[in-house]
Amino acid sequence: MKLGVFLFATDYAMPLDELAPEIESRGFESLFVPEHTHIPASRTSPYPGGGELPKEYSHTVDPFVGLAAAAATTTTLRLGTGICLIIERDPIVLAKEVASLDLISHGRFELGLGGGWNREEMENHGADYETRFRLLEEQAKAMQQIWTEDEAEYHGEFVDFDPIWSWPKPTQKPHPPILLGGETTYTLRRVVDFCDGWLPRGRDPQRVLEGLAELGEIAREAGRDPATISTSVFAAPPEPDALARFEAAGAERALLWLPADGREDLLPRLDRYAKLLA
Amino acid sequence: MDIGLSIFATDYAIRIDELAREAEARGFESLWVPEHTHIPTSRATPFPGGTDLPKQYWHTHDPFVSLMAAAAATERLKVGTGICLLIERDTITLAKEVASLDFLSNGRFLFGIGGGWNREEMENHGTDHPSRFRRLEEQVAALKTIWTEEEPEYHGEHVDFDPIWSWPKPAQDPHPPVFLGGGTRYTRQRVVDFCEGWLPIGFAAEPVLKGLADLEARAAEAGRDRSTINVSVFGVRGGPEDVKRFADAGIDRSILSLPSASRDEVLPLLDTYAALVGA
Repeated sequence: MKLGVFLFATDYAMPLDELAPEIESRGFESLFVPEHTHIPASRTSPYPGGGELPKEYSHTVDPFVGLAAAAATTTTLRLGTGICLIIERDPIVLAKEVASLDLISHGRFELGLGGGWNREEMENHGADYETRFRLLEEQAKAMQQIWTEDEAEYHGEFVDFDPIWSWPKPTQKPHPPILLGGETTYTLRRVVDFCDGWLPRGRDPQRVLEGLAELGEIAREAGRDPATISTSVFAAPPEPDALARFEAAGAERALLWLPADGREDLLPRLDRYAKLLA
Repeated sequence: MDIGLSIFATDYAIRIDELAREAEARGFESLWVPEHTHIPTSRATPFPGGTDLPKQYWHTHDPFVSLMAAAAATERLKVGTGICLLIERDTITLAKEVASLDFLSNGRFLFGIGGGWNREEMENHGTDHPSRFRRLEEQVAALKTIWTEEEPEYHGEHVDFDPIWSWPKPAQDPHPPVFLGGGTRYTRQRVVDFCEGWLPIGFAAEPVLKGLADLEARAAEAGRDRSTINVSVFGVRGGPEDVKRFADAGIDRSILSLPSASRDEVLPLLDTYAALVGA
């Protein structure tokens, strides 16, 4: 199984361009970063993790700029969003950001995406909480058109544009893998319907193991080969037994949490995690 | 006077990180890229350049991704948008993209903006052509608030949000300079009112020099010190003679255009332009 890491890339953590080569040189496969475009100060939507919202949520660098910096100082490390809140972004702009990052990184980008939980945050971008997954599906399908068609157009309820030209096309063909975050059966159905992978959180390992079996059933029912769908466990426990169980159940990748800390804390932690690569 | 370069960073041109290294090695001060998020195939709005729209307009990379690649490959070179169509972008997301690029480049970003001309392109982002400059002005004010305040908020006609938290803040204090593109007197008044720089197109010297006199008069009228406004001429075509005229007139920066072409075509041109550096 591939082993990667993720962290909230912030202004007080080790900079991504310095951290990325340390990750690559230790043999990790990938680096993922989450995003929040901002956090509304009202803090009306409760934090799903419970308690106060951690500081790093309001200090993340833009993921596309941050991963471009990480791409510049590495050569093989896969670079991903985990997750990108695409419903807060314009699909035409986002399609070009993804394609540009895939091109300058020589085809190393993975687009993890999700629906989000912070109602006020998405409302500041004109997205409605109740319809966010219908928006997400249309955006993903519209971007797939832009990435693969010479004259792309899309006509949906939320995303609607007449034919456009947009290059560069992504280096990866037909486009970078789209990985959907979330753990519900609805998520699994969406993965089978329009994504390339599943990106569940590993905080409930049992649900991930059940979900892997369920994902296979849903795929077969839909006539899709389950082997065409990858699973990456986000925030997997850094323990050999837990990782072995995910691997035995069919997961391709596990992502280990790095705190948004400085070099002196991150490098020893990377060294500890690297023992799991053996 | 500073000497910069501009190029449409495309999938068929020299890679932007490679070009940035070559530019820095030759002593150029800055590298600028334009943006179009896409081009609607209807081509209903005529190209202001008069000809058919050149292919590079629909092959441009995202400017923030490509300028981060350029900054990561260099140490001193400044990187700029010339221009960013901010009216096609979400203000809160853009504030973070700019701040992230400025933070990760150690304060080397120059933020050129403009109102754009392609009506169908902006409409695909929900922007209305007649009101685009009112929107632009609100966006600049909101961006500056996000970059400088702990709990920014903004309440305008086109941009409206309650207090938010948004870090990183830009590395430059108080924020990267905002340069407004355009050649009209309205543009110059907006520069005096809410920007740090003017970014006129310099295909010919005379209109720029006339505009500079107008800009200086408007600054004096508004009680703003001219030295607080950086004048950077974009797309200088007249060669050493125009660069000298601009320098003599007190213009701060000349930006020379490179074709969106391969390394073999671009690097000899860089060598030619390099004669102007420090001249």
